[in-house]
Amino acid sequence: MQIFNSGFFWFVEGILFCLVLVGFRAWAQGRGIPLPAWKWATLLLWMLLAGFTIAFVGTSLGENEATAAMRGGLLFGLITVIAGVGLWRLLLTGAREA
Amino acid sequence: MSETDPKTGMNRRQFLTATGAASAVAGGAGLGLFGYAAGKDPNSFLGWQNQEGASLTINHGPYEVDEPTYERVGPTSRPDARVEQLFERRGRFRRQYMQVQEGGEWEPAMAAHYAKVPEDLELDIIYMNEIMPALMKDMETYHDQFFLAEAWSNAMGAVGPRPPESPPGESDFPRPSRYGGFGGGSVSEPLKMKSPEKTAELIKKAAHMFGSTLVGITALNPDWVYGYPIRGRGFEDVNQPLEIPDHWKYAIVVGTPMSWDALYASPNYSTSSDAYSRSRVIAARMEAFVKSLGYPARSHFPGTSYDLMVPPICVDAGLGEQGRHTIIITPELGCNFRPAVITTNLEMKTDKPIDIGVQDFCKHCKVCAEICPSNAITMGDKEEIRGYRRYKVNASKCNNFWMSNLGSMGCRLCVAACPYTRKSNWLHKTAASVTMNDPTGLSERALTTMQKGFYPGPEPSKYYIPSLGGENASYREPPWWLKSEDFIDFD
Amino acid sequence: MAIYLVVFVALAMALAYGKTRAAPDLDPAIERIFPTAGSIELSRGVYSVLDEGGEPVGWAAMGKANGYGGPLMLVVGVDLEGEVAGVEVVEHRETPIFFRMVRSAAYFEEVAGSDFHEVEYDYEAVVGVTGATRTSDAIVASLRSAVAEVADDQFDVRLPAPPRSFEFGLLEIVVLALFAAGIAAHRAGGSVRRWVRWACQLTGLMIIGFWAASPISLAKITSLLSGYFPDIYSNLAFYFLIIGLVITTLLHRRNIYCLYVCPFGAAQRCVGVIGGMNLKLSARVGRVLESSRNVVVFAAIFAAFITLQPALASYEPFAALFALTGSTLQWGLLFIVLTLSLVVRTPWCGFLCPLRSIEIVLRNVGAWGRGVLPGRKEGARG
Repeated sequence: MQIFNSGFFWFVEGILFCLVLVGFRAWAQGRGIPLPAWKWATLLLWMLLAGFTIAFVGTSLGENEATAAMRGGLLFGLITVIAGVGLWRLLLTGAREA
Repeated sequence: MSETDPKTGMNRRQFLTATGAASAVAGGAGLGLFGYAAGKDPNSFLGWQNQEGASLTINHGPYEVDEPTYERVGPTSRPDARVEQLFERRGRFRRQYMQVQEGGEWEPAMAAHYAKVPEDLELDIIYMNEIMPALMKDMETYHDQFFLAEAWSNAMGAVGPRPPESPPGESDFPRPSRYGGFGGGSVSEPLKMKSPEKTAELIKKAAHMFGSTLVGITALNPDWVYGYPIRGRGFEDVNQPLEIPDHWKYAIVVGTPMSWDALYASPNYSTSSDAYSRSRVIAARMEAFVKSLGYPARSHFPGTSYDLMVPPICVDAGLGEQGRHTIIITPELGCNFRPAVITTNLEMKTDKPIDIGVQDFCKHCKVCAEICPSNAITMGDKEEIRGYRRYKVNASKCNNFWMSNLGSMGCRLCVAACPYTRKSNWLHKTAASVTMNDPTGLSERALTTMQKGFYPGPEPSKYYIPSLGGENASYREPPWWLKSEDFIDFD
Repeated sequence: MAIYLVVFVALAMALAYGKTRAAPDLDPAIERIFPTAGSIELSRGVYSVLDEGGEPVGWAAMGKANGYGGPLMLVVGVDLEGEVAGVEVVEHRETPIFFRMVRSAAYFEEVAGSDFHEVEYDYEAVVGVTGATRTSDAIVASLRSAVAEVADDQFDVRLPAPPRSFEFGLLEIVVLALFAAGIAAHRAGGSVRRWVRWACQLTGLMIIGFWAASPISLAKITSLLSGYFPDIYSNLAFYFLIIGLVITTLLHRRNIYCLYVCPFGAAQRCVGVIGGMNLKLSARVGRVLESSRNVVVFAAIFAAFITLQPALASYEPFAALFALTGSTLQWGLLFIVLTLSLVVRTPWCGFLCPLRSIEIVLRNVGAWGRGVLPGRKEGARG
């Protein structure tokens, strides 16, 4: 498990993060969705929120706090889902017809 | 726009999109695993790693204030430790109760105290006549379950220095060793130090090297010294007021946390004696170190060997603030900190008190008061006590529950449940620094609500032993190394 | 209407059963207070105690309040001269040692022997403990209600109400304002109605929801129906909400609480706006869901009545959202309902909320009432 607390892990995590952004950009271009700065900013905020939720659940499980993992996961997960749907609709604005 | 790769059947864009989606899944899973590792990480048990101390993890600078966060509101007085120090009073009670039942009298200080606080007499009698018999009974029944908890506690507490055997005028001063340069200091008069700043630096490094997780230095406020001494501290007559010696000018506070995962299994699986023992050893080493420099020094250490009240000294020394449960809340360890104090006249630069927002936090949170099985922690406001405004804890009620528990004995539930007493990982450190820096108080309310919703524990009444109506509950499951049934074949 | 009759009778029977099952046998306690007691008779909540020869020796009544671990019940005996003959705790769920620590015995000894007019209801002053506890508050409250019952029934004396004042604060003001705005806006209609509704609901979400966490819940309604009235001094807002719900439903045939006040309805609408979809369920599915909701509500109230534990009835996820507390079921429901709200309009209100069932009953009763009342027949179709 110690690998996940290492610098190497964050190096890999950083690469994956960049790949996600590149992939997202490719996907959006394919759909003809414009990507102004505010869309990138909201996307990053949402990724922070989603990442927090996942890490919260993981940390709570690691701490043997199953209740916190379940309730926190449901609450933050709910916020993530709702925000994600809202963000999705915002992202699609300005898309040209394919 | 782009050509399709014959092997994968995807064009470049589709490939990038798929890679991105796969990375999102892998990255998300990685974060989850990171969280799990962070939650499990033994390094988040702060205070057990190194000889630099936990003070390196949080910079106190931004939180320093000129005045401590308790308020002085009236004429102050020093406590009469003979009756106001709980262990001392209970000791006297045990020795005198039989005589009183046979027609004898309480000694004057005890009689005066019981006349003033009749509730204490009733609680002392409950302790003797109800709690002790019930405990003896349940000790038999649950011997096996708590065997290892008791063994750990005994082992942890097995090491420690002895309390002073003579009055401060004698015991505090260095005695040049028979053998010259080693063991106990050889100089016959105080060494000239270069500057108080350098001395403080040296003393703090020494404290960490001796194993102290936190260290702070303050000028000793005489209000914190007992008005009368307690037994076993080398004073010739404990019924004579304690004259504060001139050389009790400064107080060095050292200390360590208790083992974290045992603490969360309070009351019956946790123990104080691990931190007690380590703090005692650190204090004894510090006393020897200061004496080696030729200066007088006296250590005051847990469980019961003090001439003074420790929590306010911790506040003065900038280690933390006093919470609703009257325990010190430090930014690094929460309230999982068992301090010891060394008094000396070695000139040192003192630390400033800090304000990390505990006073506001404790006003609303009340987690400790809600969980306290003995109802000893108030839900109400601060009161004036000997000239200072602070929360009042009913030590007699607290100790009645403390003494009623199996295993290593004691309670520590308020320490375990306090929202500040959390592991040192990204989640709790972020939460703590948010409250420490948010002046609106909104984050405090939100985090307190989350604390209560996400980290529930058993109902207060369930923590009692079965003979007293409870279920031997503990706040969290004990760690694997405290479960006797997994190691010992009792049949 | 026949189905209503069946439902009401079933619930009444459940409640009656729960009450008889929960009623403790007070006779031993009364006999400890009046050692000469021969027979004990109960009428209108007060026990008349007669000796062997049939001569009255005194009266007793039961008092009840909520303590640290649950209900705390005690019996107060009053003799013919109006002196408190004794106090006995019949039932409490406090930890025994805990109960001893609040030193109730000393307090009861102090109370016994004083005239019922002069009972000292200040536990702290009598016992000399500082820091009110739920247990000592419960002792005082139940003592007061028991003494008041005997005084009223036998001495025809209304004991002065406890020296308390109504707690009228932001929450109460907001509740009243929301109802007033809701009624006015509902009359006005049009875009005024739409905007006022949003303003009201957002206010309700913040104040009644996140700030006070006190929407109407089935547990509260059940506990009202089974005769436990929350303290009116400290629960004014709750009574405002209930009265507002009932009156606006009966009079307007539209329920202002659900439309303008309820914080959970507001939360669903907010999520709905974010989701931006409005999937329609087929009428048949809707009907099935609605009737299954009615069955669930009936079962919940029935269970709460039989066990006399109103908290059992509460399956709403309100506490999970507004106070972050609740059972696993409630947390799961919260997640499902609010996620569904993204695609279906206010799914909780339509298919799960117990208030909906109660509203339908109330509305039918109201319509029936308007039909029966003379001169209102025309107005009934508004």
